[in-house]
Amino acid sequence: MTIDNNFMLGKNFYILISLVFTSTFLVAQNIDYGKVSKEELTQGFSSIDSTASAEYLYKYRKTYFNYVSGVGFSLITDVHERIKIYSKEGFEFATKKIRLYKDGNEIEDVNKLKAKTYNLIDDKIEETPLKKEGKFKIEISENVNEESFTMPNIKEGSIIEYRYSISSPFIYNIDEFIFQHDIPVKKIEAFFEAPEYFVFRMNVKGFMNVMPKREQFNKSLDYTQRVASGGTTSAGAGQGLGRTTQVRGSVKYMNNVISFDLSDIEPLKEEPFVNELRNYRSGVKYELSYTQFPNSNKEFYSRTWEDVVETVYKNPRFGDELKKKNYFKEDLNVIIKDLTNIKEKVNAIFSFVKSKVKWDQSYGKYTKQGVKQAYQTGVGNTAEINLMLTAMLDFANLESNPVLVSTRSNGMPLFPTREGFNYIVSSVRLNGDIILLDATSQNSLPSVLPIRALNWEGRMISKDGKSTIINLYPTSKGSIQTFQNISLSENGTAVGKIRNVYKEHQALSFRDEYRKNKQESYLNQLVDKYDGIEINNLEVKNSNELAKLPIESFDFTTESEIDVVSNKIYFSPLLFLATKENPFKQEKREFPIDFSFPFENISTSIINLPEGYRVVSIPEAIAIALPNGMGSFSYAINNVGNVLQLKVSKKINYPVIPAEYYPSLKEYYSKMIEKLNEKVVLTKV
Amino acid sequence: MRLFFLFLFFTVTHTTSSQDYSFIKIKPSLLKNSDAVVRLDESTILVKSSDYMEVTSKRVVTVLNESGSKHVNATVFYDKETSIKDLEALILDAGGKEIEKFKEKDFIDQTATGEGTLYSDSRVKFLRYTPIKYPYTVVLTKKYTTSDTAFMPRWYFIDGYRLSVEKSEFHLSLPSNMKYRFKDNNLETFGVQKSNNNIGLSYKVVDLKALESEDFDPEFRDFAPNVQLALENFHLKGVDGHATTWKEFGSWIYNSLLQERGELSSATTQKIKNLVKDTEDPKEKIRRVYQYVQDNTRYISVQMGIGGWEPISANEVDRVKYGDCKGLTNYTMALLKAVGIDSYYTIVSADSSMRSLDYDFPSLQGNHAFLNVPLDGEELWLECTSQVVPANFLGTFTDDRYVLKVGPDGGEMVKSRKYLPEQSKQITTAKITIGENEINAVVEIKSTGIQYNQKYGLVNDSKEDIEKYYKHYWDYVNDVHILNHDVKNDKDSIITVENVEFKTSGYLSKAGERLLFAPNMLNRNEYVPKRGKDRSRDVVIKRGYLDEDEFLIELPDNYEIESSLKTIDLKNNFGEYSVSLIKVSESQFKYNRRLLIKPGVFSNTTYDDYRNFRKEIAKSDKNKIVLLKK
Repeated sequence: MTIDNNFMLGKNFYILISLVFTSTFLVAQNIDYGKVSKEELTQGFSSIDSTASAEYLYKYRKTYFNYVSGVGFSLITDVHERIKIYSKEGFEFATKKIRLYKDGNEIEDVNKLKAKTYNLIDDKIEETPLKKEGKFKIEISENVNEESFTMPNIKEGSIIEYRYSISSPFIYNIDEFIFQHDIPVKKIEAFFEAPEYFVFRMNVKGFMNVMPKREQFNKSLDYTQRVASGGTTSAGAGQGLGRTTQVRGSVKYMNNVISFDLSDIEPLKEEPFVNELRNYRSGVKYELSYTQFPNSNKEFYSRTWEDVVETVYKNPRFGDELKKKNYFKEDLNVIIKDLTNIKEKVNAIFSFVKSKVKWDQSYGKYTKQGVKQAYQTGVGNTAEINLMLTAMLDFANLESNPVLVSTRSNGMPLFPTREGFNYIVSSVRLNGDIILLDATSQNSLPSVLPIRALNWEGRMISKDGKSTIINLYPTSKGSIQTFQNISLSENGTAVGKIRNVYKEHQALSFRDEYRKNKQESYLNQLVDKYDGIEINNLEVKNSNELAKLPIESFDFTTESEIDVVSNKIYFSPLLFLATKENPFKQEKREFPIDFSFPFENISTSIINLPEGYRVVSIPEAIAIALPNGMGSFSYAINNVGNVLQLKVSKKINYPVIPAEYYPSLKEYYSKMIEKLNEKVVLTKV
Repeated sequence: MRLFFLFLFFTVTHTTSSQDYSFIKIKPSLLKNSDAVVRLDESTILVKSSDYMEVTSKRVVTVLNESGSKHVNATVFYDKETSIKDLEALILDAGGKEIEKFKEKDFIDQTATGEGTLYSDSRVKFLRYTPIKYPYTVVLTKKYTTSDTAFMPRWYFIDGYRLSVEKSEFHLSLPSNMKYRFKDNNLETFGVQKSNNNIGLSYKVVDLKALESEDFDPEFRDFAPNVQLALENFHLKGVDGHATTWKEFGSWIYNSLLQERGELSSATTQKIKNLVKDTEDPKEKIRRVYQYVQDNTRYISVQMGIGGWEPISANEVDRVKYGDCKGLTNYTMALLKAVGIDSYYTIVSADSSMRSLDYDFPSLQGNHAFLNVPLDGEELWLECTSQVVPANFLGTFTDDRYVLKVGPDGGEMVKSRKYLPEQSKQITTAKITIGENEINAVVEIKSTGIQYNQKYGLVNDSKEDIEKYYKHYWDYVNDVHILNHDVKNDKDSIITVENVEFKTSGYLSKAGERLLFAPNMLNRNEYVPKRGKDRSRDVVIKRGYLDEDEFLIELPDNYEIESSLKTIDLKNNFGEYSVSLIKVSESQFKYNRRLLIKPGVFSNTTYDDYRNFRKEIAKSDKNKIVLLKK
């Protein structure tokens, strides 16, 4: 897409124009390349984070449009970065890798690379420039090149500085401006400059409070227009070229600039139970809303959620693919002909798609080879499989629509963007409720989507092109119901039988785990998970029959859970099922705690005590709860004759818990774990 | 005419019958413990000259389940010297019927440069296929030619666990005037048939049952059948070579790849001389030069030049201050030479599996270079790619194995440093103060040898990472709050000293009036090897170590020990373990523990004994004492 296309006026005459953009507005860069100070070189640690191994002293990026005659617009990104290296761990920042995309003849390029290392030697600044042997270029794959360079003469205390420019033909694809890194940043200056013809939407993400500055300035564009009028109805190649006239002109237009000037940015640090850390990394993403060239209409790309949906829907690899039905008609008629119950129909179609087409592990909201081809070859991406499912449900007269989803790895769809969605699931209305379906996962159930698709909200697209928000997180709980019957012996060995029944998301996880492995390696995993207990007679029912609940049972022997000390026996009654470690170890937390789905684990145990022993003490019953009904834990134990009865219930009622509840959650886990590990004391009579 | 028809007829039936790869034809014995069955693995190496060979192969694999897909091996590497001539894959269904065909252009083509490497010209083509149903079969045919004959591919008749083989064949053919060497390993137990003469080799085996991996296995190559090959006259990235012994290999490497790469500028020579001018002690000189290298260079992997075998010159490293293992080793060698110390560029097969270069099969082997410095009566070792490892310390990456020392007199096989269990020692001393709700521990941990290897990196970690490390190290203690920590790396005596103080409210378990406390709060060894059914292979324990622990335990006020620990003293072929708890005063007890694990190769019949030994240790380390309120 270049500007030339928009100036095509008709077949009787055509215009070739060349535009020369002359920028009168110079973005002032506050820090000059090559001017490194002694203070910067002697500084021993970062003032933002004293433990940092390296620090961006300065990060400059300017992305703008450039017009080249005969080629069209290209996107230029100027980069200037200055990095201080504090310790050997920071040496990795002395190597820079730049990923460059390509598509056929359209390639991204790095130009004007200049780089230097600075060291302070005997109180003098020593500069070592980057030379040819430190620069590398490799072709990673069909669509990716990588240019990299590594700096010479790196020591602890060195400063490196580089400047380069990337030119890209992919003008609608602006790489995210990243403000927050794994190391601190002293100062950032970021500019995005676009002619009024291109209207971009700005999406800010992360927890940092950043204020953009918006400016506009006039630019004039001198152009040379070649007008050729062939005078015939067919613009003949040979005769037209000889008779052109050159017209010079000038166009005034506005340039829009959005800039950020930020300083002292703390590094982003890893925490457990985080759904993709990069969702929280501070930055700005620009996405094209519409274009409007002189003498043309606005062409919309996306602006609102409705626009996004429309753009996706209009794409032939989405909407048209959804309408195709002939390829499955005959086969599907056979499947559904005797079914009258709606639920049965849904289940039959759902499992038909699963058995017919296998997922090729690739994500996409658009089809690759098309639904028909996927149906024939038996392999498809997420779009092919779930659009096919939707089309089949629709064919069976059910109200079914596709739902656009952003997977966990793709980040949260906080803003209306096309790139924001990368995945499709299907939905069907059953007795007034919307049920979500994903046939790419063999073990998924209606309303039980694979974890990858559980990410905040999706957009359901109905036939009229309208869309509605759909909450992707499940509301019903995944559950494990455990029953165990244990017999203790005097020497500290426990022999028992255990039975687990899995529901909803817990059933999905269990089946994924069990079916992925051979029974043998699953058994080894169990042994590892439960501190090396010995397992016999492992049996799993309904591992493949999705309509039924999977039930797992096995016999076990363990010696390690029971302490026999002189004439007393000590054990925590849940034995190896007791959680021993608090997963929340950090003192504080900034990001929400993501459990993926609400859950409920309930276990009932019957413990037969050894002959000749009586109970000295048992733990007290407790019930604790998280604030606002977010979760609860209860523990109750009774002694009746020679038997202990134990009931433990753990519930987390929401898939995601906000970070402000972290102290409560940590405390709750700590109390729970303490209770689970409390001992029963028996003594010899 | 009739004869012709007959011939044609036979050919046709022959091809169809040989291509019947339906699932039901597989013998039940080959399905046991298998994720995949190799129906045919056939490879022919045709050497035409010392700088040209052609490798043709066909591999047919029936994949039985998801884990079996990795055995398809539909991958081919290439570079400037190696070009792919043929590449095709057919996918067959369970009945052996073709369902899909992939031509060379359908294979995915990408760089084979690893994450940590900035440049290499190695590329790879591989098949991406999503199975629709199991079982399915992949018929892969490929052919490539290369001028690199220095690396002859090693042939494995079975190339992994949980994989059985119907038929595996390997042929080498070469002109009668070309000399070659070969070594076959472990053929008899697997019934591999062979024939060889001066124009080639031929091997064949049928019906190999699947092997299961077991804990403490020997290395796969040490028990699986395989053949190694080498040409006497070979070629590598444009350079000719000749070698039949390690001495000759060493000479070739020295003369073709290293010589004249050790020049240094006079300024650098002078600088390095100044660095050591006030000492005559060669060890001190080595230490200073090595420190200089560590302070001034860093590791960057760039694989250019002769197959990743030729170092960049010392002058170049001196200028840019980085290099890969070869460049940095060669540079350090040049600096040492400038101060009058001879050292030897040494090639090793580096990884924690402790694999030796093949002592009795000289050929181009190894993946890493480091430096050997012989001194009177001892040998020092320098790992030149690290900025933090002390001089003369080798970790699990390069310890205790045969390596090739290269010098003007040729190559020499020597063993790299081995650490005895007593040298790989960790001493933990601590004072543990038990309160009714909280425990406070002041801990000191000293580590040497292989245990040092696991600790020295901590010194450079951030405070947060160190805290995380301790929380993980003591993961059986809940709610660890690190109060302070300090990690020292004494590079001269090669020892780390960690001082940590922490408190916890999640370690004591309550039982009514009683408190349960496991005295081994700071160095538990909970590992128990997996239960093994019918252990078939030797038990190999590669490295030993020694742990000594002494904790002074202070009881809470008003509590006394109701029951104490039993003293344990175990000794057997695998090691020694002893534990005791003795009273020091009314409120103080001393916990002593000693664990020695010995390295060795033990017979398969002793696996259960070893497991029981570890089980006893794991159990004893968790043993608790009971405290009762007075």
